[in-house]
Amino acid sequence: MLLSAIEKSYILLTTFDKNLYEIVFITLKITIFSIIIASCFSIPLAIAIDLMSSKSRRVLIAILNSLLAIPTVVIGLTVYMFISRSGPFGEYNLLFTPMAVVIGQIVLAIPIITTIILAGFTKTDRLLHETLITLGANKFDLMKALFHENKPLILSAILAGFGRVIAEVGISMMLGGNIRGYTRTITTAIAFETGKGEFAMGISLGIILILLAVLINFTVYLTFKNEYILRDA
Amino acid sequence: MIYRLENIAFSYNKHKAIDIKNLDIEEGRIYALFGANGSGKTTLLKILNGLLKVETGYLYYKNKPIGSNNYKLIRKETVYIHQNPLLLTGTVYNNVAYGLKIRKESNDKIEKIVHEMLKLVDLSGFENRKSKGLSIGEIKRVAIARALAISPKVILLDEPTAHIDRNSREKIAEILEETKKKFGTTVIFSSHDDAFNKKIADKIIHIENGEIVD
Repeated sequence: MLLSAIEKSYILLTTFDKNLYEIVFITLKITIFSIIIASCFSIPLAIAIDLMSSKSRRVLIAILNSLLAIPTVVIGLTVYMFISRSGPFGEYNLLFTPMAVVIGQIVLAIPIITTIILAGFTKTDRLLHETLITLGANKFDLMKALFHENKPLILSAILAGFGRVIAEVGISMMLGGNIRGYTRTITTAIAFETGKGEFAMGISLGIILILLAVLINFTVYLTFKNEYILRDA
Repeated sequence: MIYRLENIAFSYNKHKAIDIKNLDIEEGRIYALFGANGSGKTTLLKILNGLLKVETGYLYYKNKPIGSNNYKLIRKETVYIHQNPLLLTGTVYNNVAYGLKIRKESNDKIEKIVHEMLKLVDLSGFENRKSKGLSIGEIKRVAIARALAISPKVILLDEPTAHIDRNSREKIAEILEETKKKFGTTVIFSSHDDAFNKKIADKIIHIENGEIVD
């Protein structure tokens, strides 16, 4: 059965099966959109938190760390209550649309991206802050420099967020409803096809997921391998 | 008198790092802070730059008392260089130009000053070199050029001779003497290197357990 599933999966991948690549396209569309919006919030949020007083920073980091532990189904349930017909945003008919999945994934990604960036900042920020302050930098200059000097870190955080979001099932299933050709993503499709005993489709989608992760990480490595903060040892 | 310190104290987590009864620093001279590790040299340098705020006592800069609302004055006119300076990603030119760029100086002025400062630290021709490939001695000299580019009244250096070879040490000695002579800049540095201190300092200040001893 396993060999047969692998053989079928190979055929699905090499013949560019329409259903398979439609799922991949929808997944990428939703996930990339979610990550772009989440990054627009997370990057300024991380920089702003880093420039706060140590007490405020500690409190906010503790809150963000707590948010990391929330299961995706709980995020799905919470967003569901807000966008379901009886919820406060029910009039916008968002439930079981790609936008509903995007909202849930943004909620999932923001704490992940923000905490990873903040963890990286703490390794470099004191020396960087002092160096820039002593040269006359104001808060805006500091924010720009923090972003510029930590580009590889920020991109790594975004990729970690992307990896987490593309692999989640709970939010996509609860808010998207796994509607074929509309909100069916790689993970919901794997769960659905496996339930039907269609392992070939699941294996094909799994292979694509792994290839995507390798491709993105390798591209980032090649782009940023020479750009790291320089510090005298 | 550029600095006057009276009964200055500073602690880290209730551990007293600085307790100075009286210290006067004259303008346009070179001072060496000499003392063991943990004696308070770096803390004192950071206080003089405004990176650390004094808890008790009085700090005067150009006869003006420095309180919480005018720390900007010493930050504007003084610059501090770490023992292991951090160079920003990019070229040597961009590093030396950083302080001038954030002051919105014209490109022509920036170019002129960067070339002048790199010549002073004997790194002419290094403009387009990436900061990543520099030696420790070169990094320290780029950091000095970057600091001097903004024409500070006081330059504060933490262990400028640490981790560098004899040639680089002599080069840094020449740069600091030239800085005083050419720009009239007050130079205050910490160092364990007694020979270096005696060679270039007009006055050596001994610090032990945060206190000044003679």
